[in-house]
Amino acid sequence: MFAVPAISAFILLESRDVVNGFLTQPYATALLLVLWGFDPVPVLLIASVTQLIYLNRQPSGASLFPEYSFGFFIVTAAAGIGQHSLLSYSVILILIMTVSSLTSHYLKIKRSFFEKHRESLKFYKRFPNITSAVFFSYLSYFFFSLVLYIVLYALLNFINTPESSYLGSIEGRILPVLLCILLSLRYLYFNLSRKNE
Amino acid sequence: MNKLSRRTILSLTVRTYFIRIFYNYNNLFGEGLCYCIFPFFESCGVTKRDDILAKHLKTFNTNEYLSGFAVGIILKNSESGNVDLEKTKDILSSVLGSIGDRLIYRLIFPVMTLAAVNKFVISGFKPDMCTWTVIIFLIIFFNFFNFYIRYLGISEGFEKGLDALKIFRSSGYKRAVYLLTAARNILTVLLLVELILYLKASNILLFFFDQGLKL
Repeated sequence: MFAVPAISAFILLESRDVVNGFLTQPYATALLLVLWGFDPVPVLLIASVTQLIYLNRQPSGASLFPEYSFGFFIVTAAAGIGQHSLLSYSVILILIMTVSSLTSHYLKIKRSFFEKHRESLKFYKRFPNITSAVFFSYLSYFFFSLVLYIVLYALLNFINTPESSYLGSIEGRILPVLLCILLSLRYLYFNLSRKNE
Repeated sequence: MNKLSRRTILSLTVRTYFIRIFYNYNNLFGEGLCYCIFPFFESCGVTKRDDILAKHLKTFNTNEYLSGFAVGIILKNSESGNVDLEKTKDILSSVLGSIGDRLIYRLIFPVMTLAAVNKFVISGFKPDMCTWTVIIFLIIFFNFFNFYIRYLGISEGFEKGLDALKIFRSSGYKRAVYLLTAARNILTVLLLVELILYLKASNILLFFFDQGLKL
């Protein structure tokens, strides 16, 4: 219950605020989920699609950059351990994109709030202080992850029922594999058509 | 003082890892810069934090991976009497931002990601020992680079000032960019081929058409 939000908050902290060593990219956290007992095929397929969707996006300063590392981990962890159908793959991928985008808005609000109260949240004796900045950032990410995880867990369990339409019985792998092909083609076209490399 | 002690460079390097946590819409990396450069002034005996804040808590932008160059060059400028500090910061803001984005997010990161995804497809999305080795190697390699570029940026920036940025116009750098661009494009083509082979080998399409015919 608390492990996923705690790790998700750490992922958000690493990918956005500290170190930035690509330690928590989906290709790495997918392996963590496999170690945790998740079925490797759906987890690695979803990680691959997520990486390719955002491959040509650059996080720059004040722009609202989708926090896909966080989105991937929290949604995949909430989706559960087993194989997925076409419907659940579609829902998971849409949720990853939604959560990633939502998180970028949350970060914007968090930054504005922290700036407004910087003396108590980021500073110590009127000077930038790393301990309080990391502590309060992690705390805010943890509570955000906890609320999001509860909502996602309830939503995905509600969808993942045996009665959930014909789409629920179709082999789901086709969707992420085809998406990977389309996204790789788009990325190749994007790179080859760019003049100033 | 032409060179910083190794201890000060290490302390500054570690601090650059946290520069982004102070990012805000008011002065961008201004607060982060104040936090990063503090050990230098402390080692010089200047511990008046208010003076540092008054001088550096202004709008400043950089790329987090190349922030070492920004810190080194700004400290060099501070030591030589703050000649054109604001002008130097403006140059760093524009140059480091664009070079960093291009080098890290358009080249190194895609190469890492595509290598990892390629390995996933080759192993049939079932991680084997080789997959683990590739991912761990990629992470260690990037973090070694991440540390080295920050450390080098601080030491070179402090020694040469703005001339340290000439490294990004050297033939070695251009060659590295060329190789990374080629690697990225080759890995994308390889990924496409492997995905098509995976699709064919795993009979997913066949299964899908079967289901369609049954309907």
